[in-house]
Amino acid sequence: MMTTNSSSAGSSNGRREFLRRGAAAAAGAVVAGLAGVAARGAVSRDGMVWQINPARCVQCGRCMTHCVLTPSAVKCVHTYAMCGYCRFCFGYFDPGAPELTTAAENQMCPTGAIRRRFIEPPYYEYSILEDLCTGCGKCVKGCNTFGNGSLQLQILHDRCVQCNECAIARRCPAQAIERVPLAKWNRMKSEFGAVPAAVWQHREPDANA
Amino acid sequence: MLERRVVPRAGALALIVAAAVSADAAEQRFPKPDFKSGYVQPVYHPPTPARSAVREWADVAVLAAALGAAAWLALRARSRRGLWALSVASLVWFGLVRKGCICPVGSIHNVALALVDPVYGLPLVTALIFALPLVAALLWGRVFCAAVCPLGVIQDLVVWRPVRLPTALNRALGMLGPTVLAFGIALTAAGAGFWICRYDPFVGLYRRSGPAGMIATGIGLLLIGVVVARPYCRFFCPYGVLLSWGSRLSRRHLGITPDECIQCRLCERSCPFDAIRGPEPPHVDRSAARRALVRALWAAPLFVAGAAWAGRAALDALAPVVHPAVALERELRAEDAAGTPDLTWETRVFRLSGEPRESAAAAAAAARHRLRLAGLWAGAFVGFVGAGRIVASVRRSDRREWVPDRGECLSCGRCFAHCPREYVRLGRLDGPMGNP
Amino acid sequence: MSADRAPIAPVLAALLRGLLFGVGFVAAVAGTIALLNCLQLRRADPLNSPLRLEAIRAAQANPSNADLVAEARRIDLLARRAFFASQMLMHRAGMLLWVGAALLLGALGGARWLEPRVAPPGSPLPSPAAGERAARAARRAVCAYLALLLAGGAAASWALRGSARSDAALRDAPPEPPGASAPEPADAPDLDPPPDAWCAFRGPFGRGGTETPAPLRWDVPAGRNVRWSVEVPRAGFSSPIVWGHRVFLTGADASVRELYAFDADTGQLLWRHEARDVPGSPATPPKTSEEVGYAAPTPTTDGRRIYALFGTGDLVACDLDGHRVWARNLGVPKNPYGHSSSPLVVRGRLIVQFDDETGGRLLALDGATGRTIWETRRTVRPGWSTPVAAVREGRIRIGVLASPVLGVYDWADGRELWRVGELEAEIGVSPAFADGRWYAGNENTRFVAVDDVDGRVLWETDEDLPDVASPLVWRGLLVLAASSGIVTARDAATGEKLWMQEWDEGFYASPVAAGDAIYLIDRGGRARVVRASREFELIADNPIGEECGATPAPVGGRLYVRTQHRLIAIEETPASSAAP
Repeated sequence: MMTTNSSSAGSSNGRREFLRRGAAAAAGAVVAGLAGVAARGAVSRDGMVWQINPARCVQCGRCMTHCVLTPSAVKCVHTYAMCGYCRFCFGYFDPGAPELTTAAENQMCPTGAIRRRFIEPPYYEYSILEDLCTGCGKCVKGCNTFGNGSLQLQILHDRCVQCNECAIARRCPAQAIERVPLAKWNRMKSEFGAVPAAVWQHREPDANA
Repeated sequence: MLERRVVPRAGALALIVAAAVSADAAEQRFPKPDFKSGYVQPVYHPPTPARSAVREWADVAVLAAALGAAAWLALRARSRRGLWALSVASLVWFGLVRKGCICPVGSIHNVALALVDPVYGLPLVTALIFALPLVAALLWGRVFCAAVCPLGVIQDLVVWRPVRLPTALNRALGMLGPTVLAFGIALTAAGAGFWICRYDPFVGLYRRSGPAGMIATGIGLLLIGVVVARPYCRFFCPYGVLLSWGSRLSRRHLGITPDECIQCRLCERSCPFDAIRGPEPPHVDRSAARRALVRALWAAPLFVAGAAWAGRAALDALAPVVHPAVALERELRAEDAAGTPDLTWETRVFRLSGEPRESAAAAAAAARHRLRLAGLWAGAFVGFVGAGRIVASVRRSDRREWVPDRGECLSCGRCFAHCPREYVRLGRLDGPMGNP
Repeated sequence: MSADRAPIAPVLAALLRGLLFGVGFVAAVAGTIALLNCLQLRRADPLNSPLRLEAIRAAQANPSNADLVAEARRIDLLARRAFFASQMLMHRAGMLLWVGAALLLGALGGARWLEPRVAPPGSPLPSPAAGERAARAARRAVCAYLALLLAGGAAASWALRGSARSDAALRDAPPEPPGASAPEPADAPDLDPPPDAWCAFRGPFGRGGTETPAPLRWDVPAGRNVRWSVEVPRAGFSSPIVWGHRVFLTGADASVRELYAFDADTGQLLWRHEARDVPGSPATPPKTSEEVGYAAPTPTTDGRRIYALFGTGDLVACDLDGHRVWARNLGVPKNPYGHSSSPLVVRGRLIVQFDDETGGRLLALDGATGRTIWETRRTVRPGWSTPVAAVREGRIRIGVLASPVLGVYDWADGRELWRVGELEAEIGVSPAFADGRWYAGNENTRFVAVDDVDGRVLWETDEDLPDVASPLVWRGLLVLAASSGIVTARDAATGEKLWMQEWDEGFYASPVAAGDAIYLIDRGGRARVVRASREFELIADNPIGEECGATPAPVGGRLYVRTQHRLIAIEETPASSAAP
């Protein structure tokens, strides 16, 4: 019942069929070879995921605007272990804030996505309301410039659709978004290395490779 | 402890763009507090990824199973309805649930990058996603296109009143696919990114989010697809070019009917992709055909050389647009000349990095060189394919019946669903033209 | 059709199909429109809207002012609501689109099922000749494609030569070879305006002055020296321009945008042209502030056509009798206050500065057809400044100011010759050119005098700078009229301050000069006429009697002034000049 559409028989047809089989076998070998050679230097047999290297991030704000998702899969996360629990938090308060209250004009976050909770004098706990955060990075900039840098932007993997080429990575001015093996998806800020010298350089295939 | 600190004004903050803060706790500006109220510091747990190693391998298994099912439905069960149902299932699973990435079409980039960039290695799952549909094509034809590819099935479902394009237009548009393939690979190999993925028209629809231009292109292509069946697959898809080569060599391929053809041409009319080829009588004027062949063979090197030159010139000219290193160098130079540093984030980050200015120039020059080289090869490839197609069009087979063109047939099964001989053979005599 | 389908089935199925088709079609179309609309909206971020930022800044500056604080909180809440509502809407629109598409596909499938089946065609088998024809067509098609590719490569390498040249220019800034032949229209000389025309914002080339003297004393409320005064049908901040015996002006509101021509002798409205049916024009005009409106750009003319640009990005070209020659939309300006930069026609080319939130564009359009001759992209912030032209060694240069740079471009091909930076502000002031020097600056940044040859900064200042009115350079004097009401005059060559004068009302109208007199019209509607000299000398203080923000046009012994509602022609009658 399986048909191959070669009802007319003949020696030329047979020869053609033989050639085709040979070529098909060769093509199959090429495909397998290509895939094999390409996979030779693989860091991970499983897939890779995108992650922001906070040591490189310059908080340009493109994570909010360039993600294919709305809202962006990049949001602010808080490494409590690095936090100074400051009363005057540079991530929470606008630099021009006249008073240290939770009023809208005093807050850095345009959506009020940081919650501030009093613990004991003079310490406050700050936590991120993920649903409100837009990933603009304003608080991260404040915290990194004047504070401990416990706030960081990171791709949240329950939202990220793992585009083959991350649309933010493409526009990131500092090449801060990198592919990491799937097994290393949950690194926190302190687990990233320092800024390499050539942060600006787009990764190039080696010229003499 | 902080009340005495002077509140920095906005201007001061804006000036300091990227103070490097060490992650080392010992150097932290504000030491970790010593809580007296028994407060326990919470620990942030990042949300678990939607994907995991198990799921990734499951995806590969699902792809393999879908390919097998499509092959079975197209070659053995010969069920157009089965293929349609599988299409809907693929649309829902690969499209709406898995939301597009990574697909075999885009995996071309990953393979190309892994071949030229020793730092980037291709994960095995990606390699398999690239290879499985090609292997399936070598065995059974383009069954991936028939009912598995998420880009294809969404177009297949909207085919409504397909028109036949004029031969010339069809053939000219048919050259776009190899062009997209060649230049897509060339740009990746030159370090300019994944351009085929950037212009994926339907992924935005599956994600229900994306740039407005991308969504509009997707909807527009679907509207065109109502009358020009599967325009992306036939004219733009780079992976389809690879699959059509595989399919030409395929071990088995979908046939219209195993019985004798009655030359009713219903299959030809039923095929929305213009992929059914009729009997091909021998040449009327053999000497004219020979002259045409000689002409085509003579012209072939010219085509290759001309297209190679054009490809090189095109990528050279596009370098500042497509390659970030070239764009950075250009902007740096403009800023240097004007004495206006740091107009863009890219130049600002470069200057902050402390790299010598020459290294940006060197990177740009190297990128430009690679782009030219890649453009040359890509152009030559397009010229070669064009020349090959011209030569092939001179050739005549001694075909006597109606068969699907192995390269262009998408194995959708519409032809056998329309074949009267199939109705007779299967005993479904209530009418030959059941619309699937 | 099979016999087991009852006769009623097709009717029911047709009804069902019709219903599904209707619902599906509506849902799919609605989903598509809503989705695209939301995607467009995504770029207009309410959280970073100037309105919100301004309100918060105001509240922070005056924390004790409860009203300002309450207002900031109210606007902030509105912005947050708008932001999250648009995200929610987009999510729903995406769902709607898919539901609609599914229903539509179902209906289409049903419709196909019910269609009458067609009989086999029985068409004849293709002839051998037809096969050969098809093969020939295929060959030609592939050849044509490859030829197209070749043409593309050639075009690319030609374009590359241009960009390589501009790279070299940026690197070395080589002096222009004198007399280098620019592609100029054959009839170039007569495209230069006659000396008595006031053909653009601040006159020919944006120079701001004319040698012909204009009236020195008048009194509009009393009717002294007023030749005529007419009401302008629609409001606008654009300034009058004059060619021959006609005065041109634009006016607009949110729904109608118009170009007017008045008789220069009688003030009679000769014609009005409505800028409608412009291809690409937005259905709803973009938001603008009340201080900009939709008719802020001044029209310009080369004596053949008159070109008017509106706040919607619509650009229309009419002949002098009001018949449209061409019209196009340059893109809807995404500008926080609205578009106000005026076009400038120079030797048959219309230069348009189009700086909005999507980036800076400088365009040269062919005056006869509206076709783009060149377009230069610039990394600048939105601005409200108008380009100025200057000639050096036979070549025309275009000076453009936008935060944060003053750039000078070649009129022939749009390449950048040099730029000067550190001019970061919300820039509403146009540059000025005189005696081989460019002048540019704005309040909240610096003001520089720059050498035309190499872009060297000759001197700079940051005192009492204007933020709306443009500088005037006349007889070696630089006059700056600030919004605060302070007018300063400096030596144009050295920057030395010569005199300073403070008035109650600020200046939006740019100072202009006619002969020895400089005209300063403040927002309250008083026109001071001062002598263009190194010592301050007030010639006259003339009432206009109505608010005034447009720059006057001194032409042929008359002064044309646009006030909020009227257009006034001032001319000294022999009787009154005899008895001052």
